[in-house]
Amino acid sequence: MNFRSLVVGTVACVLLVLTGCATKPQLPVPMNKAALSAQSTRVGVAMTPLPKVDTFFPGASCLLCLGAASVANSSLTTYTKALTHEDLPKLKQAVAELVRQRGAVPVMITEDVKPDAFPDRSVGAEGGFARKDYSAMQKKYGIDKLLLVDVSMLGFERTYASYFPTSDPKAMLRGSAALIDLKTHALEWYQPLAITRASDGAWDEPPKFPGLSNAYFQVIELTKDEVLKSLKP
Amino acid sequence: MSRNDDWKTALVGAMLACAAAHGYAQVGAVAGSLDRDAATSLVTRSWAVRVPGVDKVVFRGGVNHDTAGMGAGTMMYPAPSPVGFLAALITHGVLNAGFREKQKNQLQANADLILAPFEPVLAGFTNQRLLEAARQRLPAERATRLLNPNEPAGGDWLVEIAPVFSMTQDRRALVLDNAVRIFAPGPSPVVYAQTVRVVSAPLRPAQAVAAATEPAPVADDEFVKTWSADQGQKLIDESISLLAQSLEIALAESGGPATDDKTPHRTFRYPEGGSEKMERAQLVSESCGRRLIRTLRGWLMSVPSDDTIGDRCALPSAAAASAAQ
Repeated sequence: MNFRSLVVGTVACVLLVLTGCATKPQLPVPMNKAALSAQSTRVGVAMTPLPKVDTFFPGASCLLCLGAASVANSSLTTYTKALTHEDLPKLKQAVAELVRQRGAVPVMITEDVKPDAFPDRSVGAEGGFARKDYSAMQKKYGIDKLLLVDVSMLGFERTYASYFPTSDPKAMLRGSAALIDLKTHALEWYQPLAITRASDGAWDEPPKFPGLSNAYFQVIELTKDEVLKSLKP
Repeated sequence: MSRNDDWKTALVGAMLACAAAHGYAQVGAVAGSLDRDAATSLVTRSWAVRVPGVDKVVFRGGVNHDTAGMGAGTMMYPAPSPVGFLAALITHGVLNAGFREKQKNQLQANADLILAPFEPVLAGFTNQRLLEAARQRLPAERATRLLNPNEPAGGDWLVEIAPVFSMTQDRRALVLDNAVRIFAPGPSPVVYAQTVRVVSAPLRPAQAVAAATEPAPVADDEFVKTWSADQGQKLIDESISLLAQSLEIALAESGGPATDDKTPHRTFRYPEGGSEKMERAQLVSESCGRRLIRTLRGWLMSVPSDDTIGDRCALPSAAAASAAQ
């Protein structure tokens, strides 16, 4: 092996490591107004299982740092576990009602939809298409499209730089809402959900953290607003 | 800065801390209603309100901390030895805390810029003037006399207040945070403490302003003109009205809390200037286009019910409810 081959090989490996695992984030797709207007279109309305309400400490990346962050925020974490999802599970009903108002036929899917249980699509991981193959839902529920609300993280986030917090804790929710055409797998609507609210005034008020709790319930309301506003006729 | 100025600065700081933080609220949550309620009904009490020690009325710009913070990151500590590592750790901690504090102060300083057009009005707006006018708007059964900062209350129920006003960044509304403490006649500890927040109904924009996407220059800002007209009459009048409402709410509530643990919490929405705000709270009363709610902190908040109504009555319904007691 000559030196040039070694260099080319090394560069290729480095590029592969740096880019191979990166997944392009899906950009928002505005609601296709025609997508829900056909009266015969049956739209399955579903949600992923709601995650448990928790605390997150991005930036506390080493084991000791994470331990320090966990100890420093232990009372908040303990309290967080007592918080409920409030009426977030009822978001499906509100979504279904708006689907009906727009002219399509809503089909309530009561079971939690777990994206990991569906196969990856071998093609079409490019933007504008679903990364999972939900065709099985089409057969199971007799639907043409799937409107899926996916809440992946819910609780309080406090950023860290190793051992030290770089912000106060804030209530937050991460996820997405999408309308998927089950024939083409095209995203006819995709809305990333990244909602953050700080406490109004002091946050460090154990044991019930009223300021942060208020922010948490605001986040739930804002999430519902964010999902529903694009669906309104 | 003179010693007198130092003292005033410290007092303003204390007022802001009381209103913004949880000190008063926690005391209020514990104190609840007055223990001596049975001895003296609300109607027969005579009240004396002490003028705050700080001369000028405290105004601030409304600030939003949703984007505060420096984000996540990783720090590589130089660690030639355990002592070196420890020194690096301490240095990082000190710098980090200093930066966060500086950022919060900067956010507040930027928010305060919204008040620049009103400086001539606010420069002459004293707590004495504010309280003198506000007490005249209280109903007859809440008649109060004013006390100078160190004047004893004699046989009256003493009311101490620490009002802090904020203006929303769109200059469409005022928000008052008033920390109230009540002392029974004679030498007495605090028998009631509560923070009352009152949000004014938003000013209505003209059609052109509502449709505009860029904020108007200060000279053309219709809200600046509205608040500033006639030597700031609207700004002063609204401030007096908010303080009178907060006093009435606190005095009425001191007779006995209108909610208990069984009252359900829900998320209330209300306009604060041109924005919609939310608060998790218990409903205390609702009328006159306003809602009185008890927040998770135990504070009382009087908010407009929606953006079309908000000030149909001079005082919230708590007044009527308590007057009937």
